[in-house]
Amino acid sequence: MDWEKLQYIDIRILYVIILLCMIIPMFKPIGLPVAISENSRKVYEVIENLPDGSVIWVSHDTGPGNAPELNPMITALARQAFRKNCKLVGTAFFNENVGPTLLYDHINEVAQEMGKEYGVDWVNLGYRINAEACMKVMVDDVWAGVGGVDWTGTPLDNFPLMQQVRSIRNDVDLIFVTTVGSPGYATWMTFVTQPLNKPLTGGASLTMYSGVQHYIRSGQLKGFLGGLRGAAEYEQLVGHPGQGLSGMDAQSMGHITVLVFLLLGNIGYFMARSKNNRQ
Amino acid sequence: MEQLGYIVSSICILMAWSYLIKENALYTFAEHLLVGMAVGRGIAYTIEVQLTPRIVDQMIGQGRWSLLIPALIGCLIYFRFVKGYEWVSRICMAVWIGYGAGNTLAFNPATYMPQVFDSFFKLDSIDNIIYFFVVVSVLWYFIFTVKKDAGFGKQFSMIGRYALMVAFGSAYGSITMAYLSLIIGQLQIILRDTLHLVK
Amino acid sequence: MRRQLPLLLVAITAFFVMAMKFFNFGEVGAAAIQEADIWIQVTYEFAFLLGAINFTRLHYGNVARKRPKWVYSVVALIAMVLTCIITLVDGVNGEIAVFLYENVANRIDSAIYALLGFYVCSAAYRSFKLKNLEAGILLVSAVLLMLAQAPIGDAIFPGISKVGEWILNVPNSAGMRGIRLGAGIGAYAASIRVILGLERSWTGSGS
Repeated sequence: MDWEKLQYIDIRILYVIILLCMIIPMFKPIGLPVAISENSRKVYEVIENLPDGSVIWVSHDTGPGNAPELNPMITALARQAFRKNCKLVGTAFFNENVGPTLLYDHINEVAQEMGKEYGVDWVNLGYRINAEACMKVMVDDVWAGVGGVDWTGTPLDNFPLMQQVRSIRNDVDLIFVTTVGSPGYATWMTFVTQPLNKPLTGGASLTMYSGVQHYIRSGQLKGFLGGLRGAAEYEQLVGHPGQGLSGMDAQSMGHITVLVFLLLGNIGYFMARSKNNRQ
Repeated sequence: MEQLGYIVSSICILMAWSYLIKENALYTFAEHLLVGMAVGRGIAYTIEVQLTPRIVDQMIGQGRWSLLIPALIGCLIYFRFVKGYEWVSRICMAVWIGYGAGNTLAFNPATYMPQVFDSFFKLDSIDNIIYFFVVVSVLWYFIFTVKKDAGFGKQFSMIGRYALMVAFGSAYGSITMAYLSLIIGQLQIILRDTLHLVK
Repeated sequence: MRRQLPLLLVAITAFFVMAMKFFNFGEVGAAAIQEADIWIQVTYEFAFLLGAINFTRLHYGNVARKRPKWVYSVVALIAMVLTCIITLVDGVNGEIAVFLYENVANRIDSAIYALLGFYVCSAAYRSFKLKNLEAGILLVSAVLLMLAQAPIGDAIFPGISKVGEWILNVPNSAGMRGIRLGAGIGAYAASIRVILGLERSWTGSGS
């Protein structure tokens, strides 16, 4: 067999193979167990240890690209928070077109199921230009930071929850951020949680998960969820399997396929190299 | 309505993924449609949620006419389109850059001190000692003002380099996982929500 | 004057922000910095059309000069105008506006981003070769992490998720911390250069 040709397979064939390998487990689930990591457990516990009725600030700082990884985290957070009768105040600083709508949809889905009312149990404040300036103002005056309106432009006077949440300093107990870049967890850490010594947790796209580990180690992040796998673990802890868990089998097969591609490419490379050496 | 939405979504996903075969008219159409819609919605969102409350409620309603000053400073940015007066737009940019630079120097040090303490003052286990060693070697690797041609300097720098390779390998592994899960998200919309072939 | 005024403004703004943080000016200081933060927000809000004007100039230019693929520029301009009007009339949370944006633009955006998944696979196949020790370390840590993070890894090699956690928490974290500390020092140096007017690339060239 001409092993060198392993280096030169048409890439479109590989695209078809990866698609098939990810589609097949969707039809025939394998049902592999998902082990829960320490970081995900910390996220669950920091929220579980909050007194019932606490105020959680949730910032869905994501764009449309990474949303499939992070949306299940918001759904699971809403479930855990509402079970504890916690209040949720939401923002979305990364993308004005998508963030506020996704945040609204995913919390609203759970809120309607659990009998929670918009304006009383949760509010979506949406996107504001220049996250740094907005966060700095919201530390002491949330209303001034968001211009006195929610994400649809409705005045905050209409919402009983916002009568009690006037500043992050005095009225918010935990910040939960889902992040894909900047503004994200680093902005919240720099301007809010570090100066106020407030707990910060949440989740990141796996594209940046390896870069947040040292913040978890230093205690500046109270655990952090990592992508779809982290969302799956969190869903298990909350006790309500959802989008995160449903994608794990396909994810597993995708990984194996990528590893096989890696192996094929390297086998072809070494065979070509040894042939050149012999010649 | 929801099902119609899923059908439209699936068509859009397939239009975008047609690029995998080769660049084509469908993909280019989808790309330009996306960019146009994103700009349009951004304008509308800013007007409805940010500008209207600012002008109607705060400036006119509460009489905060002092906000006209930053409004005018912000409008100076549009002078970059006026021939001969591009320099005026730099006034607005100067305010933004000064604000950002001031914030960096004022707020960032506090986020780094816990990092330093965690690296250099907790040497109570094997993992922490390895951690300290790796952090110092990586920092040493990035010092380019000292010659590291031979001897201990070079060897220590190489250890930092290998540690960086482990970090980048972990990053690559994580990134691969992240992007594969994005494909799963799109497949779920097509197979589950639109075609109802999977649960 | 045209170059000095912006540089002076950078320094004044930066020193004001830093002074408000490092010194205690009581309630007056707190009110002043809060007002300054709101003013900065307002400047950004009123500059919101910058991207839209650039976008329109580019695509209108393509159409006017009949450059290659100018038809797509027409599509982009029409999409911008229609989406803006529909969203303003229907509201940000309006049914039609949300339907259009979520099912068209949002889907195209996320599908284009998902293309990266395919490119990562082709990168793994084409470029990730075991050419030397450093490439080998990169490869081994990537493979270990991929196996550790997927549920199938634990099924094939029990306990590999713990190995993956250790790699993330110790060597990877230490390496990233070193990078982050170095980058932080670089950011301070860059900020100081900007404030002192030594970094002038942002002022551009021209009249």
